[in-house]
Amino acid sequence: MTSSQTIGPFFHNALAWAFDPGAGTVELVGRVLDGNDQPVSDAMVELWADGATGRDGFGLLRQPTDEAGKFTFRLPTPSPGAPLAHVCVFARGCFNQHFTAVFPHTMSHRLLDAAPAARRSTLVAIKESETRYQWDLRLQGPSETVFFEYE
Amino acid sequence: MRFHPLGLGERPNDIHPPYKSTGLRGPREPRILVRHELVATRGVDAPRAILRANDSDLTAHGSSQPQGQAITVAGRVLDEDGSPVRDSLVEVWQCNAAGRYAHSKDNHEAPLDPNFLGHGKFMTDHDGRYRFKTIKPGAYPWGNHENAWRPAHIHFSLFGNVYAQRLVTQMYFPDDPLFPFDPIFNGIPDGAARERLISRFSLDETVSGTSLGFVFDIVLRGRGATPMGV
Ligand SMILES: [Fe+2]
Repeated sequence: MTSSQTIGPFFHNALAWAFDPGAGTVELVGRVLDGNDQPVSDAMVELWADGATGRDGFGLLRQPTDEAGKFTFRLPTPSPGAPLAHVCVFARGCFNQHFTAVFPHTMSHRLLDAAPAARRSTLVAIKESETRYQWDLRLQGPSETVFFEYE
Repeated sequence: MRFHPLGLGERPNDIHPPYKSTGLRGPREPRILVRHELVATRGVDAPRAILRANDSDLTAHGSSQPQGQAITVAGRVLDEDGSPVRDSLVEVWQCNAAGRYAHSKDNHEAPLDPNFLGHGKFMTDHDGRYRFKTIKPGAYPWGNHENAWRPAHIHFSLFGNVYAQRLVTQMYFPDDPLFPFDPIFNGIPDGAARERLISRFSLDETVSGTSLGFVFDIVLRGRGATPMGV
């Protein structure tokens, strides 16, 4: 298989054609943080959620993080029992992409159940209002986000 | 479709001290193994309408030819069975011949080239083949350590047919003297896996009087894809 290499810091112009936060009514805001809780200002977040079509029907939503490490997406209202979105993050200093997911609240779901109980909360957003969720993605540290691998 | 664990040494360690910024950005916890259907529920089916004129000719983005050695890069995208990954989006980006990215955060003092933007995208065909025109990128310095230079490379972003096949990587050029000193290239533990990121010169892809040819085949994770049209 072909090995992964870092996305590096200079991807923006090439990948910007598909930068699209979505047009749904549920806002998902958050930051990508490193092991010192410092913002990662050159990450790229891709996510997909049922009903979000992406730029030109691409199928994915994609946003770079800003200087404060922040990202904002506007997602469709999630179906009961479903995550807000499946997420993949890339950054300079990451050799590999990292797959994860964000849920609107704790629920019984096979992805959540697969995560160690003590770390499960890293996959659950904070509900700030009916239409706004906050969720930080931590690449490293005591609250490191749970990342998945496929089989 | 089935996904087997990556081969030993094929995946770079998330924390690789010679590449300094991995120190605080590499996860320390093991990945949690899940069935890929749980995550990659969606196939990636990028419509061809996303492609623009000259997306696969990076030498045609200005009013005249960019500086540098014109090249063609071609290859096939395959899965672990060796089956073609068809109609699948590939994005590429690179610096110019002098080693400078057309990017607001690239501070390297090498000259920008008004005729070179350095990015493109295209789809694989029915046989998993792709081909694009560009110029050979230069090496460039970076701040990782004293006198650090990246070997010439082209960044590739691939989607496969399901999102679990997603891959971002870099293609290198044969016989680069910078290989032994690059902590990104050498972040891949296995030597044979590193070699697979090096394109090979191809006289078949070389266009007489015009451009040199390089071949770079890519193997994505996953086997047992349902053949299309069956
Ligand atoms: Fe680069």
